[in-house]
Amino acid sequence: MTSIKMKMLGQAVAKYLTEGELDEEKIKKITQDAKLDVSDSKAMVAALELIFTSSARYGVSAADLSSELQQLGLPREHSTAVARLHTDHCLQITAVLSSQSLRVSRLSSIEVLPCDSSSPVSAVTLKLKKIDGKEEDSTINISKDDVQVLLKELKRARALMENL
Amino acid sequence: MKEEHTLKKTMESTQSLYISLFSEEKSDVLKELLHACVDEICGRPGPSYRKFANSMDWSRAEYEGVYKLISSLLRNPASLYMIEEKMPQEYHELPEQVQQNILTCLKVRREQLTDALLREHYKRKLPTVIDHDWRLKLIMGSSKMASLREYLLQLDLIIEDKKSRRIINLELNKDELDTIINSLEKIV
Repeated sequence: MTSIKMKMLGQAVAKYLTEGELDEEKIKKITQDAKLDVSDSKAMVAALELIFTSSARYGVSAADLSSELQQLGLPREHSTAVARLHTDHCLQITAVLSSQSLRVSRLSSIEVLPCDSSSPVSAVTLKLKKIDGKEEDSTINISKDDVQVLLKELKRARALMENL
Repeated sequence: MKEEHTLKKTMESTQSLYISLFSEEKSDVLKELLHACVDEICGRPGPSYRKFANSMDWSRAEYEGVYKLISSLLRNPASLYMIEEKMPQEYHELPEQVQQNILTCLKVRREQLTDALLREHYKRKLPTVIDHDWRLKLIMGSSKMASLREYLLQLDLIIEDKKSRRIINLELNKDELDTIINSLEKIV
């Protein structure tokens, strides 16, 4: 297995981590060229995935990653190739990982239903994505006076987010 | 029909009995009871027999009767006109002094009562927000990311419909909070 092939394999895995689709054909081709059997190629993909996600998770620098890999016995060129891939893809992988972090009840959308302008309440539909991944719709009434109060407090919270 | 008639008769006689309890010198108690009833309609703790047991010499049944009468009077949307002709039937059966007290109370609390009655009306159609609460959280890390610095606003909307009260819990990051602020601004 050359470091060039390692790099190509790493690119496929990084693409899988950021975009969610594993290009199996490509991986088969690379590993068959390197005369690896199926279980070895599976192990390589898993190892690369672990290296990329863990180093993004713990914010490891490329230099540290490369030297650690060498200490584990990976050849210098291979370690550098992996470290370079880490530098290129770390930001995207971090973004994906934070978006996958646990959220109890995520707001997907909010829609204000049209209503009579003289009416003292407005109907609002909230779409929530629950912890089990199910979408939940709830349509509620909120009085216009309450909206004013709520808005004021939400803006205060927004300002707090900016300043802290 | 006959039953209804006799029921009304007995109610009338008991009513006059209860109302005689409210003599001139007890008008303070009456005022307190009136306002406590309005409080209850507005969703705050209302009157109880225990609270009024000492201020007047009456039994629990007598208290319940007066309380029901006053409460239904105040709950009746017709009372909000505050015009003699539009007042409900029960009102006209009350002594002059009590009528005056009721009118004064209505005058003071009219806006609150209207709001409360409107809210009750909307609750019948859709769950309605009655209160809200929020906490701002700084997320330091998760199972996926060892160190994060992300703000999450946990917003609880307490909603109530005819039967029950429940909480809609929202967890908003900065972008989602902006979405909700923008949408709500359209309402105002």
